[in-house]
Amino acid sequence: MASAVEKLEVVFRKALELPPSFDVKGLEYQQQTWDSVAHLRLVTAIETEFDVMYETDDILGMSSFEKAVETLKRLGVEM
Amino acid sequence: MFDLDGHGDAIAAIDAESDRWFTYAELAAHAKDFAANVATPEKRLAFLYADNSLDMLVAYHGLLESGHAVCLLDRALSPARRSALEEIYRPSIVVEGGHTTILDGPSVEVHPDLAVLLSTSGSTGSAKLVRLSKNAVRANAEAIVETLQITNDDRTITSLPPSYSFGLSVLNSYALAGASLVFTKHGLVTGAFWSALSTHQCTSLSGVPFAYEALIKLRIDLRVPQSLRVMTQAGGRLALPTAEKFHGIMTKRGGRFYVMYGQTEATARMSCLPSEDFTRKKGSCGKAIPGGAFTVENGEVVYHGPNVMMGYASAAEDLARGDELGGTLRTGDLGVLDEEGFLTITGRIKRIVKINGTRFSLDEIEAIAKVPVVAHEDRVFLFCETENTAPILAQVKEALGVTGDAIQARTVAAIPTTPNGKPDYTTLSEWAAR
Repeated sequence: MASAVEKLEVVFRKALELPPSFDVKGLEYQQQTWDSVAHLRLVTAIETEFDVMYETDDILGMSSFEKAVETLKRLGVEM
Repeated sequence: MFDLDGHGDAIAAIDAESDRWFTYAELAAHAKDFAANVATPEKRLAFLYADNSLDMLVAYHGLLESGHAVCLLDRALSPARRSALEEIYRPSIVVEGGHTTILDGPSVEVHPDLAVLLSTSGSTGSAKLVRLSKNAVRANAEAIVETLQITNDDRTITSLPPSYSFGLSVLNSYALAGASLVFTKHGLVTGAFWSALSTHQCTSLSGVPFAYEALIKLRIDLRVPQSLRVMTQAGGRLALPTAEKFHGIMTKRGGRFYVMYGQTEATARMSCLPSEDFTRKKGSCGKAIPGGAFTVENGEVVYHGPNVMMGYASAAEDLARGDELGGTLRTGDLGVLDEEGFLTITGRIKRIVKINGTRFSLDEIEAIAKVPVVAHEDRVFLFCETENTAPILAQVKEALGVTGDAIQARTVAAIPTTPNGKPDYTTLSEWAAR
């Protein structure tokens, strides 16, 4: 049973179209394929996977994988 | 070109990250110094690898001041792409991030009227450039200032790349009007961007369709900063409900929402739908800008105006060529004009698709994919005779620097062909539409 963080890593790789083994833990916005267009796709994918709804500030503030983990914790997901 | 000095102490540009800023008088002085550093007896070609920074702005105006021709390219361009372009065009001057390099080697003859060169298609292999004259650049800036009523009280934030014709036209029109620019490297999906916009009380925002859709997703439509009075949309067709939403938000606060249509081949913009005509002319991209005119010939939109390019360049020798079009541009778009002269674009003739504001040639994509390619509603479809489409899709996306569902693969039992053995694009287009 994958942990929540592992699930988030999968979401990141899929939304950013990165290879299955890519280490996304240290990834930041504007690195690799993570541009503005991908950013919104990523947000939608996370919202769907974890059944949460991002506030504007959550979207604007999610500048890294780590921040995404924090955001999910704040939205009540056990990370 | 824009008489920067004439705006004196008006603020020209602010860098949101460093808080560095300068007035027009200072920008003019910096540009003059820059020009002096690259002065040569003969006119040369300069490559400016541009990003949204004060250094770029100084270099750009400095190169215009110097009389050399400047080709603006995305600073994010890969080393391979850069080498390829530099090999073809042999620029004598290369500028990036505040550093200028003068290159040796045989210089290329550059036409006296040539001022600016821009790429037409994002990051594909195409080395084709659009050649813009001084008159065209100046004329389009004037027409944009007039049509959007830009004054020296306006302030915008750099939401577009300066190497993109739309982005550059914002810089040009603002320079002419003596209005101010806030430079940020952050995209509009970041807190830093909106912070900069608010802190500096920006009055105006320009964006491609994706940007406005992003604002909805960000729910910024619920809290557009109060200082923002003008929104301009170009770079493709914006979905009507989204356009209506932002038109509503702007008019409610006594502001304006403009829809515009343009091409790099016309410097930047050809038409404008004034805010007050938006509601009764929904779906139209407006009337020709001052100095321009549209006709429709065999369904194709033809634009006439001083902002039309001199022609293309695909080799160094082309830089010496003069004006080949005489102010008439066959746009490659299909459209209709109504009795008041309002234009509505209905489709494309050329095998070209716009993904997120960037234009790609379907023939170029086909050369990469090696399978037939068609577009439908700004999505590209690769038709494969195999189920295993993942590798080819990945290869094409990587080559173009595009992610997401804008490029898709379809598996078919057999590619339909015409009597002479070529792919039957008509049938493929119908299949793509399903």
